[in-house]
Amino acid sequence: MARPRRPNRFVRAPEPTEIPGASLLDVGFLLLIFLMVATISQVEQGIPLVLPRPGASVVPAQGVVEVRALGGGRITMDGATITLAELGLRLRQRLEEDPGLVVLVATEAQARYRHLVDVLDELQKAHATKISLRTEGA
Amino acid sequence: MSMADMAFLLFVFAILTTVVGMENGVPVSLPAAETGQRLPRERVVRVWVARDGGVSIGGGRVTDEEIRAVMAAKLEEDPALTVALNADGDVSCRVISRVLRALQQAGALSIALTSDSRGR
Repeated sequence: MARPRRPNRFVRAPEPTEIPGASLLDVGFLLLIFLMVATISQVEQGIPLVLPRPGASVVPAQGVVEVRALGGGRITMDGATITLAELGLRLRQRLEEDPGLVVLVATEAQARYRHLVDVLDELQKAHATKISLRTEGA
Repeated sequence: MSMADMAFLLFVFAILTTVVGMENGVPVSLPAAETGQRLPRERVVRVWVARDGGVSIGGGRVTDEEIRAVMAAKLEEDPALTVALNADGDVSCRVISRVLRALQQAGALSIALTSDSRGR
């Protein structure tokens, strides 16, 4: 009488052919979150300006404060050299006294644009709304 | 449809919408500002000013005369356009003044000086 064959312990059972999806799901969601965060951080922002119509810009003689952005990063306000932080403080004081104050921003032609934006940023923080731009020697 | 399929579909969709929204710009180092306001995605014309002073609109470099012509044509189509001025922070104010004057002459009066909110 033949003995029944014992199963061979050394023969591997066939592995499942399906790709495990759980880790793939994690990678997919991580990539999605990364892309969303990267896109949100790229939102454009800017300092708004409304230019006057050509030939329509007339700066009044009174109620004007002159801020000059000079080459080398220097700033003057009514002739006195000040820092960027002081500019904000002084402008707030002047605007409290005269809310209709016009800020004339004069920049030297060789001054960096970055410097002009720094000044305009301080003006925005001080809530100065009437701004006139002039470039000297352009 | 499994969750993995859905995640990848969303991922592909996000990539496509991002790529379509990108413009052919010029590498610039934007100046930093804290008070910048968010720009709308629509009805904005981007003007690029590179570090060397070269100006481009929509890819190619343009002269002051071409800025006026291009902007006048665009404003005729949509008078409510805003110009986003993407200028390098190291450009001289002489160049910026020249570009702003050309935009003003073309009738483009609504300007946004594009800035970087992370620098300050």
